[in-house]
Amino acid sequence: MLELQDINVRYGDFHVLHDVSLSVGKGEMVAVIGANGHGKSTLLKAVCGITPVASGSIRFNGDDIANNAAPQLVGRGLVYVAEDRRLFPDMTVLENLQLGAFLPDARKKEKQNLERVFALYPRLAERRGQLCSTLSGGEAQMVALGRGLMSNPALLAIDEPSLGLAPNLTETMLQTVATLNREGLTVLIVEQSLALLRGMIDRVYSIEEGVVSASELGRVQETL
Amino acid sequence: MTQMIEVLLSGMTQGAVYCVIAIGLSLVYGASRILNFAHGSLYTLGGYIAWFFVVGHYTLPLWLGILASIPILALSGVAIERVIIRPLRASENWKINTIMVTLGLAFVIENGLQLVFGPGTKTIQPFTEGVLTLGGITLSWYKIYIFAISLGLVAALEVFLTHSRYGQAVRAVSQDMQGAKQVGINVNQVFGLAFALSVVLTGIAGILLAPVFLISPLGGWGPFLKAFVIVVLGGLGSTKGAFVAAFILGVLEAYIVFFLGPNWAMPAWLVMLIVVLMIRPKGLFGVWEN
Repeated sequence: MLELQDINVRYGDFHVLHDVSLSVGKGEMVAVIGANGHGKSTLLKAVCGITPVASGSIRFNGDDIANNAAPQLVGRGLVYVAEDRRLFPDMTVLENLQLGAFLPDARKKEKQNLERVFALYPRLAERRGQLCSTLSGGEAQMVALGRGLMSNPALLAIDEPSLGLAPNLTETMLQTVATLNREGLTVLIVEQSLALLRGMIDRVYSIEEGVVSASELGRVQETL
Repeated sequence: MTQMIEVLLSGMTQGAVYCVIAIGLSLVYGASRILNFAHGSLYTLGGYIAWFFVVGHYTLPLWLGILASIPILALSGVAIERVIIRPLRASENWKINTIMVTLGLAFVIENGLQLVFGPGTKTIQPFTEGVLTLGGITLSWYKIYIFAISLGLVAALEVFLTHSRYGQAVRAVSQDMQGAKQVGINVNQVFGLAFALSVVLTGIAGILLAPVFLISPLGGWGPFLKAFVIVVLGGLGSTKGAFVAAFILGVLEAYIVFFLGPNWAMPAWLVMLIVVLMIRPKGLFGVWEN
């Protein structure tokens, strides 16, 4: 479904990603693990059209999408959930979720997807009229993930959902992602620790100083 | 006492029109972080376009002149964003560059208007003459219309921003541009829409005030300066702040003119700007820190 071949990304003179190649098959949940500052978020941003790619190809469902604008990619079903959530702080939970269904295809399923999000996170239904600037970190993460689901994704690219969350909330959040994956949603997830994703993912890549290598899941788990 | 109430009502009317001009300026800043220094010239442009339809070339009634002006103003806004602003956004120092270029645009519009319509002043007849007298208080009917139309425009904009899909997109872009891209919003389209709405609002204000003040090529700087002070007091990018600040400053101006005379109006606005920047630089409802 998603195939990256020799991707390079630079911030000015700083070479962040070096010839990165990876793939995500339909229905898979694939993780990219690495320490802070090694290029995990840049990788997802490059895939999702937020950060420009200097060279290499990104194919999504067979089409080359490298350097396509983010809104175009959302229309194709490639949806990004950022580590810093990027919610609209002075808008309500409901408005944030509704904006997830901004594009015409997603709008057609807005009601159905909203019910699904509220079923996943009943707390969001209770707080639908609350401004996002007043939510706790966990609730904000629920809105971020919910807003991503409202865009009707074929592949959800999630950047460190555990960031700033208490361990129990992180586990709940990741269990929700795993459930969505079991229901058929393809997931590319970035995390600092594989321990959080134990038993959920199909394959794992590790990233170090902008270089990605495919790792055997069993071997990585053993080293943990 | 009656006189004081008349001054208050007059100030509120002025405040309502200033509010329309200031919200236009604030809308563009909120969405695109661009301070449009040509905003005052676009106010003047509105007056001249309406004059063309109502006096200069055709003899349409003023209300029809306003309706005919709206698409021209909207297209002007879209063209400014598409042709002038968008290419500049790619440059490194785009914030300073856009300020300089919109300042240049203001001079181009003013000189263009001077070439086409001449340096002299123009005027338009109001929709209605006469005054309303109620309990000893006298107010012209035209000012009542101005007040009602201005508030109607602000209310319509608020409904659009709150309840329509594209209005929500404008708010989304102003709050988090990357977040807006992530949900599929085309930010360039939103910038174009914000410019179109902004020019329509300030242009209509220029038309509404044309029967009260005269239209002249350089007549936009006063309203621009006032809109700028309102936007700073209200908080850059906050339409709610602009609404509140416009009424505060409109009424304050009316009392200053009443007690000290019209020559004190503009110095008073400049003093207000300095005071606001010293005491609360982010304004009443500012998004400056974002």
